[in-house]
Amino acid sequence: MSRVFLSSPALRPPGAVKEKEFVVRCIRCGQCVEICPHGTLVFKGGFGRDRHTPMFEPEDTPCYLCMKCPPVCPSGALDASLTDMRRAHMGRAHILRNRCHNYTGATMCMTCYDRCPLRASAIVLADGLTPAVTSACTGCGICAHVCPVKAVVVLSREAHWVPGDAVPTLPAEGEAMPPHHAAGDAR
Amino acid sequence: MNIRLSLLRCFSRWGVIALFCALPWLNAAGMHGISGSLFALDIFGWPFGDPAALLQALAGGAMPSLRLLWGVGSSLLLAFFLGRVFCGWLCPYGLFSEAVVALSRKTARRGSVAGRTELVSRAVVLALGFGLVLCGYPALTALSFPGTLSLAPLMAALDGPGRLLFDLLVLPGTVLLLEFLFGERLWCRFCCPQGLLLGAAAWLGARCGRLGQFWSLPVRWQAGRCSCKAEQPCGDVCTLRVQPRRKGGPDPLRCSRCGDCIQTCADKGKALSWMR
Repeated sequence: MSRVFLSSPALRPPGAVKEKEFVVRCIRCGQCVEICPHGTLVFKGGFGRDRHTPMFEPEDTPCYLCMKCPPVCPSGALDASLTDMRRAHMGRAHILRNRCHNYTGATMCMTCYDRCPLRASAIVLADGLTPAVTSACTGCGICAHVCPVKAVVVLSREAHWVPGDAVPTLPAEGEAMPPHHAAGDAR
Repeated sequence: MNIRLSLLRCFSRWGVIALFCALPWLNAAGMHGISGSLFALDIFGWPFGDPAALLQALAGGAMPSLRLLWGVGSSLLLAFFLGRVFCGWLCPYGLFSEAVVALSRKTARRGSVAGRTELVSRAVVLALGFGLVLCGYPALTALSFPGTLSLAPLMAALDGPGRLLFDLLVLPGTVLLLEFLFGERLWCRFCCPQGLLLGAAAWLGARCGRLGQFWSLPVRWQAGRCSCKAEQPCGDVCTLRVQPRRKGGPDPLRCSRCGDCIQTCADKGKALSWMR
C-alpha cells in the first residue's frame, strides 16, 4: 500500500522550511531526531540530496505534536520559534472513501476522529457520520496510524497530488484557508 | 613527563565515542544537557558547530541561524587558541585512523613527507565539495567524517544495524581500508575539510599568539636542547608526518597538537615542549 506513495515528498518535522530550502539548510546534526520522545523522526537513507535529513512515516510512528524539535534546530531548517501545534503544517491527511468503514457502510468507526489531536477541528464529522479532514489538519498522521483499515493517506504539504478517491478537504471552521494549502487543493 | 600524553588522549577520544554511544540512552531518559552530534553539539547550552556544515548552508544560499554561527565560532575559537586540538584529542575518525596506523606500522610503509601538497589537496577537496553544494548536492556534510561517525550510535539505536547505518559507515569504512592499504592518515592529511578550516583558525591563532605571547598551545622546539642529530624520533612518531623540529614549532595548519613528538622527546633531550 505505502509503496504506491513512495514517490511523494517525505513528511518533515514541524516548522520545516520549504523542501528545497530544507535540504540545503539542514546540517544533518540529528538534534531533532535525538529530542523526539516518541521515536517518530528518523533519518532518510540513501545518497540523494536529502541524505540523512529528518523525516517520519506516520504508518510506523506518527508525530504526536509535542513540538520539542523546532526549538532545538540549530540550522534554521526548522522554525525555532514554533511552539503552537496547530501551526505545524507538515502535510495533510486524506481519507480514502472506498476504504473507510463509515463510507463503505461496513460499520461505524470513529477511531480517527477520536484520536486526532485537533479533534473536531482537523477532522470533523460531516452529518455526524462521515469523517472529513479540514484545512486545519497538520499532517501529524495519528489518524493514519490508528485507522484499522489503512483508509488514511498522509501526504506532505509539498505533494502535488491527492489520491483519486479521497474525501474532499473542508475549510477549517472559523479560519481562512492558509494560502499554500488552498493552492495545493486547487491543483 | 609524569602522565603519558598518549594515555590521556586515548581516554579523551574513547570518552567522546562513549559519550555519543550513551547519548541516545541519556536523551531517552530525559537528560538533554549534552545533545547533538559533531555537526552541531550543545554542551549545557553552549553550542559548537562544524565549520564545513556552515559553509554548506552558505553555499546553498541559506542565511544560517545565529546559533549555528555561534557554534561554528566556538569551534574556530577553540582552534584559534589551542590549535587543532579537536583533530588530535576529540575526533573519532582520528582515533580509528591512528588505529589503522598502529596496524599497518608493522608493515612499515612510509612515503615522503609532503607538506604543501597536503594543504593544496585538502583545499581542492573543500573546493570540490563546495562546488557540489552549489550544484545542489550536500557534499560537505557527507564528507564530514567526525560528524558522520558521531551520528552512528543514534542511527543504530533508531533502526539497528540496518541499511541506514551501512549508508553512513560505507564511506569512512572504505577510506580506512584505503589508508590501511596505501598510506597512513590519508584522509586527515589530504582530504579532511574540517581539518583545513580548523587549521586555518589555528594558523591565525599562532600568528597572533606569537605577537602577544600569551595564548595558544603550540609545540615549542628549543634547538639548543636537541640532542638527536641525524635521526629524528619526534618526526618519525608523528602519524601526520609533520616536522616538529622547526623554528616556531610544527606547522599549525597540519599539526593536530597530539603531543606524540613531545612525549617521544621527553625521553631524550626535552627539546620539545608545550609553549606557555
